[in-house]
Amino acid sequence: MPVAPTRGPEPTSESRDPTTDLRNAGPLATDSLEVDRAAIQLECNRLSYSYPSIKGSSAKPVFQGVDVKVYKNELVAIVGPTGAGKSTLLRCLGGFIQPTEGHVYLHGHEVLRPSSKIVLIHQSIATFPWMTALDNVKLALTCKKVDEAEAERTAGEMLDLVGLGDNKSSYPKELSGGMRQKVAIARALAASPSILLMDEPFVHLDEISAGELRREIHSLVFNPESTLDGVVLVSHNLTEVVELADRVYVMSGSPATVVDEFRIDLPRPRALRDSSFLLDVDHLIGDLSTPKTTP
Amino acid sequence: MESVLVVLATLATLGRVWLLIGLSIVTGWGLAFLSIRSRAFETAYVPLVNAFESIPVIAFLPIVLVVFVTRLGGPVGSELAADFLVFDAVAWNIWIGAYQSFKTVPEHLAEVAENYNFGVVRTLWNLFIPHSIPRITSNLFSSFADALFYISVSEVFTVGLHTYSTFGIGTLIVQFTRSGDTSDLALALIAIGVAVVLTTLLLTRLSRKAVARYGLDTRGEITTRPGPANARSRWLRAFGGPRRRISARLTRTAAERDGRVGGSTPSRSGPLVKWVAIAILLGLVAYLLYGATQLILSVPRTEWNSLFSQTPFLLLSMGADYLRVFAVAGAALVVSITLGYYLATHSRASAVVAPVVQTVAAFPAPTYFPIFVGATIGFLVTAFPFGYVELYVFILGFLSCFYYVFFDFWIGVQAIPSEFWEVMENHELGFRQRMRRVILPATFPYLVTGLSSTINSAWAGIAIGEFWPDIVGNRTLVVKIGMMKFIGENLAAGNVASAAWVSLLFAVVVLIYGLLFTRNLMDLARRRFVVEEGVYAG
Repeated sequence: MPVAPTRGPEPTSESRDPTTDLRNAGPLATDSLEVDRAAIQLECNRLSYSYPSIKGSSAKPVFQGVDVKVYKNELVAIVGPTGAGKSTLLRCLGGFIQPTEGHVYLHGHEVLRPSSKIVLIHQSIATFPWMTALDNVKLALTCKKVDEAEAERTAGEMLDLVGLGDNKSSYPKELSGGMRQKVAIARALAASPSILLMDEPFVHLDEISAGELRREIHSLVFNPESTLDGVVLVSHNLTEVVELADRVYVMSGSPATVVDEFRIDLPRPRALRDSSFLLDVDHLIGDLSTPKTTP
Repeated sequence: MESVLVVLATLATLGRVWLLIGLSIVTGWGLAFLSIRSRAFETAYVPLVNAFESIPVIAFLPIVLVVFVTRLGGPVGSELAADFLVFDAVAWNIWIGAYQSFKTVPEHLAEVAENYNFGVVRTLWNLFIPHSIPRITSNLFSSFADALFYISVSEVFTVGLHTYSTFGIGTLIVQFTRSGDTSDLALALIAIGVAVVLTTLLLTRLSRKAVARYGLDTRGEITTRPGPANARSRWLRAFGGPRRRISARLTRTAAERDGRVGGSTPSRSGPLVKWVAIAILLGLVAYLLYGATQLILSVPRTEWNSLFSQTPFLLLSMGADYLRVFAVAGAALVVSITLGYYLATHSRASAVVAPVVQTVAAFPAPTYFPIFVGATIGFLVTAFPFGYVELYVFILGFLSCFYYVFFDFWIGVQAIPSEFWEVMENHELGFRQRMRRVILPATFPYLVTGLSSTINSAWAGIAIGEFWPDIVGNRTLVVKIGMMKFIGENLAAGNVASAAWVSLLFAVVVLIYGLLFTRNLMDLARRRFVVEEGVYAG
């Protein structure tokens, strides 16, 4: 049964005024693009996944009947308790694992295997320790058969974009956790993907680094030069979700289902202490604290 | 009647091997404990063990002959000579394993032991020994295989007109081979095969239980994800040894630098332990000096002149052997990388092939090699009239060493974090790009360690293959030039001094090689290619 979209808090008049957005945003944030709710980019229908049976025991369902849509220029978040299968769902969306039931479509074409059109950013930051930051980013261009000079230029530009222009020849272990995650983001952007999947990307960072990166991430991924059409973020940090997402899917239960779909219409950059911001966080807390049945 | 003899001989060999493995474990614990408690002992112990590990067992044969056979003589001398060679095949690996696991006892557990005043015995019994069990258990696979590999050399050997032997399946195999008794030879091989399979099964269960009960490292399980790229067979989980061994080697320096290991805790040395350590160290040094002096004095001066004049030729022969070893190791590397990658990414194939490879690895090649030579020599002499001996030496070398680099590489591939596989899939890297940019760098430390063990074991195969009298009927397998051939021929002629001299030269070269090559590569692996550093979990 499809999940009926529930409305989030009514947007304030200030949030509807685009000029307010521009006034409040930082230099990159002004370039952020509006969500186009007419254009579905990534979509999954009635998606279910079960862990394969082991030693004769029956298969263990993780989630079932999940519908997710990502519109153009939209950052969608998936929240839920531990074990709800959020990361597994993310990997199904990327084609890394095949769902037990249901299908995933990118621009109308079924996603059957991983490709650089949908790039995953890992929770445990994955950078290759034997490559410099530049080489790590260049890796994304390898499969595209881009010539060496062009690859070097593009990779350099991506590192400039994430603010690591001075660290191109640094090895990952010479960089902080936040900087390493930026290298991973630069690598993802260098692949010119349509969709970015982010699996708890800030969870291993200290609060200051995570805060800085959160403030930058939306403008980084949604700027006029970006090829990105949408982002799916998995997180259990509800403040982070309200700060970043345009829409939230709340998963709960066992097997997990989508128990709420929640739109966040707050202006960007979002003020973490604003009452409407806190109201949205409270809404999500309420969703996750109250046991819900599958709608 | 022969079948009873074969069974008894197999049991005798197994008993000898297990007794010496047990002795190695107990002494390994003691020495490891001394080395983590006394810096002086550790400084001497670790390089010494590393050096001895890299010298092929066969190179110790002349020393064995001097010390046990000529001095002691009789059945006791022969038995002790065989025991020494088997002990030499198993001890270093186990000793290093014990030391590494003692050295990597987690700091918080060491602190608990201190906090509750465990004392030496309780600390050893409740902390260090349990922590070492998974690593030692997994090292038993290679120790057992190494011990069996040398049974035909350690249980029976000929010096001049005398043949020294002790009761065991190795001695029977040599007897059956020389007398052309193929039915009893087949019986003996079946007996070894059964023993190998049963021991492998036993070790697999033991290793799995040891990991489950005493293992602290659960990372492998956490990073497991569905799909073929990281599918781990249940069988493989029991073989975490190389992985733990390598990660210990890699983390050792960092741990030592940061003072994070149990051995670096403040209570490093109690006065009693310290003096015991120094006494054992001095005893070892005195014994080595005594042995060396005895050996030198036993050789007349005229003999020394002759030995010195032979040295350039011996070095040339050693060069020829190094070429053979590198050819074998290179082939093993290429096959291992191809097959290892395939198996690591195809779980169904690995579930079948892996146990087979492990069993074959434990089956001593010298026991069945004469049958292989008998079956193929007619064809190979015709097909390669000038190169068939080299081909046999190459095959025996390959059979004796391939498994080491294969298993190390394979486990290295398994240890690549699932995030890296996902990045490779995500960016659609082809096989060549995967190999060049991710797989080979990520498995570099495993390859270095595997290659190091492979080279050591290749020496073993080449040592036996270069000079094998009466391998089939009256036919002797002998190469044109080679150091191992020189040792074999001189021992057969009763010229122990020449064999001992070339062994000594070889030991020196091996040590230099270890310092220049293996150590530098290992340092490079530690500096640049630690795959665990690639996944940041602050």
